[in-house]
Amino acid sequence: MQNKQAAPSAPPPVLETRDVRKTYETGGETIHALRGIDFRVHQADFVAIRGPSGSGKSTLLNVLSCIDQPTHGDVWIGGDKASTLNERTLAKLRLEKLGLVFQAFNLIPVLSAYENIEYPLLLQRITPKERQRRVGEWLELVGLSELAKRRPQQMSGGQQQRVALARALVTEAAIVLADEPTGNLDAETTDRVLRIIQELNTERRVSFLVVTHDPEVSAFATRVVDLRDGLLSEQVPS
Amino acid sequence: MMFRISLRSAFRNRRRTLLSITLIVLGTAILFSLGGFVSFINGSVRNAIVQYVGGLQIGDEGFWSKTAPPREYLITPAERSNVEALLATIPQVTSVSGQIEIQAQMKFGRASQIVFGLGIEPERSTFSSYRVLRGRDLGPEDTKSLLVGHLLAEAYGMEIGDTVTLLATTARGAFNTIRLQIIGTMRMPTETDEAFTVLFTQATARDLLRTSGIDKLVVALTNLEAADTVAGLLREQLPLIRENLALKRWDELSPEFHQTRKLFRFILGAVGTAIGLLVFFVILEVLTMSFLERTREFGTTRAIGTQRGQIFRQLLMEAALFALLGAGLGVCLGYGLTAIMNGANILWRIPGEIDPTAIRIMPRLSHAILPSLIALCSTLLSAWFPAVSVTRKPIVDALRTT
Repeated sequence: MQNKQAAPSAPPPVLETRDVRKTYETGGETIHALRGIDFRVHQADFVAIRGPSGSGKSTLLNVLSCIDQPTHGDVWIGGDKASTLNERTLAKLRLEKLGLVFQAFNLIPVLSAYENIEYPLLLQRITPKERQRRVGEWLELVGLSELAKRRPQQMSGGQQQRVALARALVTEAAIVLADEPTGNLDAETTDRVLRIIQELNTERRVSFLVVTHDPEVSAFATRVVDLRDGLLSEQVPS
Repeated sequence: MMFRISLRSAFRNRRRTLLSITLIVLGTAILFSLGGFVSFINGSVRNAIVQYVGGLQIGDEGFWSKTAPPREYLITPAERSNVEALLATIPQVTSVSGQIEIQAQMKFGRASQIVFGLGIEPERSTFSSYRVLRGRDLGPEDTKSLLVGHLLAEAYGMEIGDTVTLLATTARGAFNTIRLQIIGTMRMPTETDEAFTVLFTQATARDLLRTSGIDKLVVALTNLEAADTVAGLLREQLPLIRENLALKRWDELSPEFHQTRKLFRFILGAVGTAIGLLVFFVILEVLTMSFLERTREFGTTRAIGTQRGQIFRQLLMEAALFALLGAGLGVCLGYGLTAIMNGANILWRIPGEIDPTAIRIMPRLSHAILPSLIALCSTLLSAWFPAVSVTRKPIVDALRTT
């Protein structure tokens, strides 16, 4: 079931970092969260980033998601150098090229499953007909067509995470960045969500970068990267 | 979608929403009713003034400025005919009558009193600022009769059928007296009027002054809004009849109308400001809590790609929804309150007037504009600060907020 095969060719990177560093000043002390990250993600890669608590995983994900700025170095998203973009353009870049999945799902509570998935399409000013088609397709794909009208609080954690996944993918983002996507799910639901991710990765060639503690998630990845003390070391998947 | 989010978010916390909307509803209803009340007061004062002075008055410059020697400014019968012929061509003019004002000494038995006498033309009825309390009204045939103010009659124990003597200076400067019989007492708008005024016909006034002229012509109009138009026409034509003929509009003749209007505008403004501030601070508290609780949600939507400005607009839209809903309900409540007040037949004595008037608040939709604007502005202002605060928060920090 696990996707162990590398991509057949070497497509251009959808995400790239060059000497990314991030330091924090706390109480007069300088904390080096990231110490020089050089890293590439290609199309159809499924990268798992592992690491103990405090290793800098979330900081790295924030920088890669362009919701935080590195202290030094550059992040490229599909050829765009994030550090040169203003806030408005960065928001547009996140909307069009990145899909974000949060550990706590982070759905908009007043919107239904359908509306949550539709939300980024509205930001992109997609026509109503096309929106309806895409949302319907993704609801079908994540197996939630019958729960389209439910609001987040009326759904289980697994269902919410599938809605979050559909919301991240409905814009046809080149890469999905997920922070502990199965962290709040039980084993059965974890398995279901991972299968969906794997299917999207193999069949639709969507790139995934997943920060996780969960060995089961790492087992699905094509590349596993360890982050320790702000430095990356890539592992060959077994 | 943004509207949908705003609408649903506005009702997330029902207790807070209810508090906010109740406050806006009450504030709007109070201001709306107050606007109707002020309009009622202004209307009452205006009617009282117009009953007294008519819509326009035409007289010599010297009459208005009081600088010319006495009675030099009288309008002659020929001039009057010309002016009336001119007025007859103006459709907004409903009636015209002459008036003569006389300061006279009135003797009643041993008592003597300076009075203000007004010579009117009862058949033309442009002066209706009195109400006969006892006895009967003046008629065109009354050349030896007069009406006296009720307070004046009471002060000297005058009865109907009693005679008084009026002493005044004629148009040529000589003294003249006439004896007149009291045919009634009258109620007038103010105590001062009632304590010093006597009314008689113009024939009586001419007899006393030994003149055929009049002081001024009082012009009644179909509606007061026409006063400016008619005044404009007359200002061009009157000098052709007589060089110094000038006219005054009803509001120029009664500066107290503007004072009253200013006073009530001030009161309305002060109450409006107080309510606006109250709404501002309460909604500020409510929306600050509401927006801060949703910081993580805003972090998420911004991370997904929503522009900061879009979230800002969404939050202002939520505030505007509160304001519009509250203002709409407030206007409805205001209509209800005014209907109840009108039904209660509450009597109100306009400052300076003798007779109380039943309050008839007639709110119009235009009275809803000010309270609705106050509700909208104070709510938007109160939403502004927390909206700025939450949208300026770095996304990473917003996402960490629990």
